[in-house]
This record gives sequence, structure tokens and C-alpha cells, in this order.
Amino acid sequence: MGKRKSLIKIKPKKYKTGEIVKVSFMVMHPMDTGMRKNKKTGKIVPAHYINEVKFMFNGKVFTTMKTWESLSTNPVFTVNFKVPGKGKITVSYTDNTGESQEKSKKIKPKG
Amino acid sequence: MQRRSFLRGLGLVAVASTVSTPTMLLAAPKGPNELNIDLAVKAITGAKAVVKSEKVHMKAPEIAENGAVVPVTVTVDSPMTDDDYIKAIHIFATKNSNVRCADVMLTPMNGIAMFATRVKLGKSQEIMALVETSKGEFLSTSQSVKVTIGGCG
Amino acid sequence: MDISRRDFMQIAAALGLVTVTNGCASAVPGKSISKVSAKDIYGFNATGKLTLLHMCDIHAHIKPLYWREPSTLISAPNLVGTPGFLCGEAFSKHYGLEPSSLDAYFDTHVDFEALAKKFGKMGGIAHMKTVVNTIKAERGDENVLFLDSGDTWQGTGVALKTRGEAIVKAQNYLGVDVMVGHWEFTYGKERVLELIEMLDAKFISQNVVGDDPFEDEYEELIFEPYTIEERAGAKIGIIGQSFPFTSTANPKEFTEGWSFGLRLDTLQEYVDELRNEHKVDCVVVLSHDGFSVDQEVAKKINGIDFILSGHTHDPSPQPIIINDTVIMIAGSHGKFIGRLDIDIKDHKIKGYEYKLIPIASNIIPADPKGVKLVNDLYAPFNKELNEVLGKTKNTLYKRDTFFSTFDQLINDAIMDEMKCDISFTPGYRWGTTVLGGDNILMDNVYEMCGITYPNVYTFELKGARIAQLLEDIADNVFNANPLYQQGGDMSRLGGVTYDITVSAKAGERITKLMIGGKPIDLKKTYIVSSWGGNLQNAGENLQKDKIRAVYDVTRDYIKRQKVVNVSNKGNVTLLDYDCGCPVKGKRGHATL
Repeated sequence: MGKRKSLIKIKPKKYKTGEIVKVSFMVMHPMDTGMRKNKKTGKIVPAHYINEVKFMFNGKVFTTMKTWESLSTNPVFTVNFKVPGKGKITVSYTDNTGESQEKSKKIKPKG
Repeated sequence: MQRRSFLRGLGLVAVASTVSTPTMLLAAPKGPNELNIDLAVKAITGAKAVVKSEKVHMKAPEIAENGAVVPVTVTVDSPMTDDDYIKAIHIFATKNSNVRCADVMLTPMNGIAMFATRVKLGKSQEIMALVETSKGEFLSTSQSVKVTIGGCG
Repeated sequence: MDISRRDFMQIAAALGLVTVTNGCASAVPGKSISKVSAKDIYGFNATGKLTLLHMCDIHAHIKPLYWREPSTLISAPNLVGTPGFLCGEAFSKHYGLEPSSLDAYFDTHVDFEALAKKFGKMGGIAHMKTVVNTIKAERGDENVLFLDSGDTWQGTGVALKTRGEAIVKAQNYLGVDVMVGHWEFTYGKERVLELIEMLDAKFISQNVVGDDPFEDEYEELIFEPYTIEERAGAKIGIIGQSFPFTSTANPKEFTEGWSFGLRLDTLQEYVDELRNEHKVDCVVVLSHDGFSVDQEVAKKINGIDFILSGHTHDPSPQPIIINDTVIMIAGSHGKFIGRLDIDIKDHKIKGYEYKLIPIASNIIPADPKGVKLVNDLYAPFNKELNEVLGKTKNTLYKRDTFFSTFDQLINDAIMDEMKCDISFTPGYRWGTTVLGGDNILMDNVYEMCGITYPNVYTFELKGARIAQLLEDIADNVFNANPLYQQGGDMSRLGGVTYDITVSAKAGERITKLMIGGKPIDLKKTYIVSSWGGNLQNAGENLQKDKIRAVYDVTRDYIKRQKVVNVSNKGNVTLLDYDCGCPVKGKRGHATL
């Protein structure tokens, strides 16, 4: 599997140090349940889902998630984050096949 | 602290997932992680009581636009300080084969105790949020979401 | 046009010939006769300076039509007899309507055929415009705001063939200022945005947001959530609420990437924003939620002064007040314009007056410009639309909870052509009425089923799945909590009869389900034809060679029949009410 398309969004777009923003991580992932049949072959599509997500700021973990196949295809994970100053947010995930990727976004508070 | 409670949850869940009840066997197809709501909650709380609380707010549609993509937001009233914060938000789709959707471990760095995601619902059911405070209390709320093949225009 | 005593006698004579409808016992004409004139129709106890005009669910009926209100309107027991679930005699009694009056004709099905001959057609933009002009002349143009709760662009042949454009022109002519939508969206996102460009009115909705996580508009508003209009020296904040269940009630592909829903949390935020930041004098929610859902909205949201509702097509002669919010709804098909006068002094609402004005097109003169506009809009399509397909022996109508004659005709047409065991026709509430003895035009067929996804699909479904689907649909209609209803009626079924206990638990309402006269076999595979929904997605072995537009199937069938004779005997037995228009506390048994 090549790199999956993923995105980090910060809302609102403009923020100051000390303000609380929303951080969303979205990724193109099938999140297969292991219960769905492939319509052409009739075979069960094996379970394939993200099972761990970590949100970090400058390398320090501030939210961890254990996740399951009940999350939708192309899942979205949104949490709040109190901006301590300039830096970088990194979100990493691992799935049940061992695949692991990460995405980063700069945090640039105005004031 | 954070990590310990996370692992404890995992351990219990792994054991519990091998257990299945007769009613679940009759229900929809089983997934690899099949687990019912009672066992899933116990795996997290141990035997501790869970209190329905107005501090826990859930936003989800009354009628799902698409059962495969149901947006859910859980917010908990909390100061999110070092001594008083929400440690975890767990989301369950109470009638899915595996009810567990996400176990989210928060820290005071979040500022506000909130988690939003999108879940798959196999059929109409309640979505439940189970919350663990830094003081070790368990709070919950739930909302019913209807999944329908289509309406009448 | 006054209704004289002699006219009344003629109506009374005609009454004896009227077929028994499936409501409760037929009403007896009262002793006094309503004398109706255009003056009575306009008569209004004007108050304050500001007037809001309201229309909803005209469903593209720019010409006058006949529209018979339901003779069956069944709900969960807790809702029986409440506004939104009143029809026929129960409706007349609740609102104190005089039998055989113009109001009774406009608001109920009772003695419809006889009164139709007396009072004639309803609605039409040229007649609506005369009302609008009269009110604007009385109140001053600058003091009047015209609001449209949607389901405006879709529902007739001329709308379908111009992809909504003819109706936008009609709205511009009428002078609509603000609107929201539902069936509008079935032209598809791109077309909706194009039509909004052509529309003079503002299109607002606080409950439509982007839902593609990778798009910029993810969780962002697609339309302006509200508008602030200044009229009569007051600031009026109007929040838009499009149909919350557009993407489940209609095919999702039309609105891919947009998410709907009630979104009560943001609705409260906008109410607060209008009050606290913009200091408006009056907060109005222009809504397509449905009358019963909006009663729930009013319970949950604080600070709304008026909800101008739509979707469920209720003609509500009086507003209802819940949690200090006044809710009104203006019927359907262009039959009414609601007039709401509001007295605002020192930034406070001191009082209001409301009236639902019946657009009696034989009594209210047509505005010549409107007549010309309608003629121009129809001109390119007259040849097809005016084709006489056949005649109907009995009145063909739409509405009612389980069954109506025009739907049965469509199901008959489908079963005849598709050779299926079961035919599903959607339970939406718009359409037309063709009086017994009248010709059926192609225009009438489009008025019933002129949708942008007209295909009839024929496929296989297991008996168990059919039973489950019916329960699912029943719960959309009969859920005790209006927030879990979708505001339509039961799908109309050809080839099927069943008993229903509305008050039973979800999933346990339907009993004695018979297909082709035999009890349903849950394990058997049945051939099902369906249109206007997405049942085909649940089915297997779709017969691709049979796919055809429902209006073509219906047209061909009527042409083959020449004279159609659809009985008004329904296919559903209701086990827990004694008639189609129950009042609170009444139980019994009725075939509908």
C-alpha cells in the first residue's frame, strides 16, 4: 500500500496562543469490517481497519485512540487542542495489518 | 497513568471478545471482534457503576442520512485541568456486532473534552458514550439513531 | 361570486350522489350558507405595519388545479387529534368550519366533488399575485416580506421539462423574497446552484453543510444560514431550515457531499446570534421541517417568534403556540397564502394577526401578466401536456395515509406492464386531483409522478425483506416521536393487503400481510416493481430491460384503458382506529 491520502484540518483557521482549536485528522482508509462480501467474487473481504491513532504536538502525545471497524470508511477523528505556542501537530495511525503512516501540520498562532 | 488505563482496557477487551452470548449468535453476521455492549462496558469499568449524566453531551442525527457514515460528537463539561479532567471518551454502537467504535484517551492539553467521528451503524440503534473522569467516575449518555432504507419524500 | 341559497340547494342535491369516502361519517350541511366574495377572502383585521406573506409546497402548480385534502391521516396515538394529524370531520370540528363552506372545501375532503363543481379550481400564480398585489397596495410595498418554505420548483410537467426554471420565473413574478428547499434538490446540486443564480429571492439554510472530509466546505455551510431584512422600520431575522431528511427521502446522488439534518444546536446558536449580536426585532424560522417536527423544534429551541413551516401540506387555519413560538403552515399546491401581520413597537412584538387566505381562483380575479407568463411558460409543451389520455369514472386523488385512487391507478399500470407480484409507489404528498367524469391529460400524469428519477425498477426481494421494509416504512410514518418521522405517508402497494396496528411497537405493526391474495411466504422470492425510492438497492436480479419512466408506463396504461375505473376501496385494514380521520381517544377498526 502506498501512501494513503490524509489531511489535518485546524479550525478556526486563525488562532492565538492559549486558544482552543479543533484538530481533525481524515484519511482515505477502507475500514473493512470483515463482514462484507466482495460482490464479484462472493468472498468475504478481510477486516482492515485503523486500530490506533495518536495526536502529538512537538513529539508529545496529547490524545491516543484505540479504534475499531465500526468507524466509517475514510474516517475522521476530531479533538480539541489548547495551543501552547508555535510548533507542529503530528497525527499517526496504525491499522490491523500493521500499516502505519503519519501526517503533520504546522501550528502558527497569530499573537 | 494515561497509558496504564489504556492497556487495562485492552487486556480485558481481548479476553471478553472470545465470549459471545446466544442472542448475539442469532443476530446479524459476526465480525472478527464481535462484542456486545454489556461486556464492552464491563471491560472498561470493571464492576464500577456508570451514571447517566447531563455533563455528557452527544450530537448525532435522529435519522441517519447514511447508516455507513453517521457523524457523532461527544462533549463533556470539564475544566480539563491537571487535577480535574476527562481521561477517556468511549463510543459504542450498541447493536453492531462489535459495539466498540473508539476509545479516546484525552489529556488536559486538549483544553475541552470533545471527540467527533463518523461511525457505521448496521441498523437503528442507540449510540452510547461512556466517559471516565480523572477521579475515576464513569458517566454516560446515549442517543437513538434511526437507520432507514428510505422514506417517502 | 356569492353563493346563493339556490346554489346551496344544488350542492345539497349533488351530495346525495357523492360516493362515500373513507373518512368518518359524512358531514351534514349546516343551516346557514357561507356567502363568499373576494372581499371576504381578503377580509383581515390588520395590525401593526409589517406583513409577512407565506407560501409552502406549491409543487410547481403555476396553474389552478383541483386538490382534495386527505380523507385519512393516521398517526401514533399520542399525536391523534393534534394539528398536523387532523383531517376531514375531525379537522372541521377542531377549527369550527362550516360544512360546505369555501373553507371546508379548501381544508377537507368532505363532499369534495360537489363543492369542486360549486367553487371550482384552486391556486395558480396569476390569482396568488392578485392577493399579493392587493395586500401590498394596502400595506405598502416596503412593509411586506414574502417567504417561501420550499417544495416550489418541482411537481409538474412544465417544471420537469425546464428543470425548474419555469418555476423560478414564477417566483420572481410573485415577488418571493426568501426561500428554503427540499424537492428543489432533486434537480441535483449543480442545477440548484444555477437556479439560485436566476432566482431573485435569497435561498437560505442553516442545516445544509458539506460532508466530504477532503473538501474545503467540510462541515461548512453551503448556503447563508439566515438573512436580516428590514421592513416597516423593523429588523427581521429569518433563519432557513431546508428539509432535514432530503438525503434519505430522495436519492443521495443528487446531494452527494452535502449533509442535511435538523441541526438544532446550530439553530439555537443562530437564534441567539440574531438576538444578541444583530439585535433583530423579530426572529422567524422559515422551515421545511414539517408541521409536527416544527412543534418539537419550538419545544427545544428558545427565542423563535414565528416558524413558517412547510413539507407536511397541512392547511392550518389557526397558528399554534408552543414555548412562546407561533407556528403556521400554509397548505400546499398554491391553494393558500398565509398573511401574518406583526405589530412591532420599541423593538418588541406587541401582537400579531394571521389568516390563511384561500386562493379561490373562480372568485379572485387573475392578474393578466400572470396569465400571460403561464401561457408563455407552457407554450413549448402544450402539445404533449394537453394530450387527452383517457377519462376517469371516479375521482382520482393523491394523499391519504395508505391508499389513494391515483396511486392505485399508477400501481395498476405498473403491475399490468411489469407483470410483478408487488408494486411500490411512494407516499409523498404532492400530486393532483382529477374529478370523476373528467379527462385525464398527460399534464395530470406529470403532476402525479413528474420526478427527476422516474424509473420503474423490477427486481427480486425475499418475503422476509419485504415484511421488514414495510415495518421500516411504517415506523417512518407512525413513530410516536415526530423527530423520527419523515413527514410522508405509507408507500402505496399494488398486489398487497395487510392489517396494521399503528400503536404497536416498531417492527410489530403489520399483520396478515397477503401477496396476491395469499399469506406472505417469508422464504419465497417475489418480483417487485418500485419507483421513486431506493428499494431496488435492496433487491437482486434487476430486470434491466424493463426499466422505464413511471409517467410513460402510466400514460400507456391509461391510453389502453380509455376509461379508468379505480375503486376507492383501500387495501389496508386499520386495527386500532375506527376511521381515517380519528379524534383523540377514539379506537376501532377501519378499512382504508
